Amino acid sequence: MDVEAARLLAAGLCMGLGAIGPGIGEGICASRALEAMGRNPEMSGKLFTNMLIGMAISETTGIYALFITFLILFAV
Amino acid sequence: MSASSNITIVPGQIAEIGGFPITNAVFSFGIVMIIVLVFCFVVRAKLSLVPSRLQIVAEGLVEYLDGMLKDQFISRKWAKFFLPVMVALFLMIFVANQFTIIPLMQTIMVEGDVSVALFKNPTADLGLTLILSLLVILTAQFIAFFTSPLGHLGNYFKFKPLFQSKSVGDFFMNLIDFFLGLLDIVGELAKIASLSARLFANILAGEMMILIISGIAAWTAYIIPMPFFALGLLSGAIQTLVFVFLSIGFLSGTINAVEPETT
Repeated sequence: MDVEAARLLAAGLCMGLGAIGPGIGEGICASRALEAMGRNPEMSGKLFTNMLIGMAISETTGIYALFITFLILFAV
Repeated sequence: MSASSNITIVPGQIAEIGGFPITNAVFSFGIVMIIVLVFCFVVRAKLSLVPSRLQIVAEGLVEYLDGMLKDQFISRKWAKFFLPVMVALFLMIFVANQFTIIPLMQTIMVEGDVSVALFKNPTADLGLTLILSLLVILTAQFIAFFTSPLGHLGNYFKFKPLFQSKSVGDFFMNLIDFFLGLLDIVGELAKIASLSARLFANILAGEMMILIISGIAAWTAYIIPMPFFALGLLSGAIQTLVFVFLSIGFLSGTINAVEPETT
């Protein structure tokens, strides 16, 4: 396997594996928030903003993976 | 790969003043500061009992951050002290994140050995986000240290409970606590890295997504990147809130730990 092929493989693997965790995390976040909104609809405005913040934080690891992928593809 | 020629992580240098390179990110951040200053002065000049729309926005922002700070800090003094800092952080990062939507931004170039764009999204440069997060963490450390030097150091080097342990089992529990306290020092460094890399990578990823999508083929350059622009606007706004929220969290966590437990 030459270096170019290894780089492309590494980029694909990095992004693919890195997307698993945030996917699960955001799913849990959204499901719990929806559950709470269903129980208590008048709180939904506050819950929604807090849900977005929580999602953005759990998304971070995915963003790190995307960043590393860009580094592998374009900067190394 | 045609798209890869546009993609750079290091900001381009556009001028040099007295040996210091002026990059396009620094230049753009200057413009961001001017925008924020103008906003503040306009709001300040038009303050009235019957609020204008601009005043409602500004008051809502200040009230929201004030409520957040009062929730997090034990003492009112620090909540009041950090309100202007947090409002300034919020406004600057918010304007900087939305810098991409200013028209003609990518197209004005500076000629040179390597021609670079005149404007660049300032938060898509690790320098700015690293400085902002260093500012937050170092402020927390310094304030905590000068409020109670021994108490603050005692949160990292937990010798005191080690000598006060009453039995062998107690001693081992305190030994574990001691090493966990040492690990907190690494945690402080990790806070700086994660806080800066989160904002930087989010904005950079949004920019690169648009570049790559518009670079795939000739027909993807026009309508197709628009949803990604909208996504960039949304994530820019959310990341601003996340940065400010986490800054308040880190500041209050470090400073509350050395406050006397009176309230």
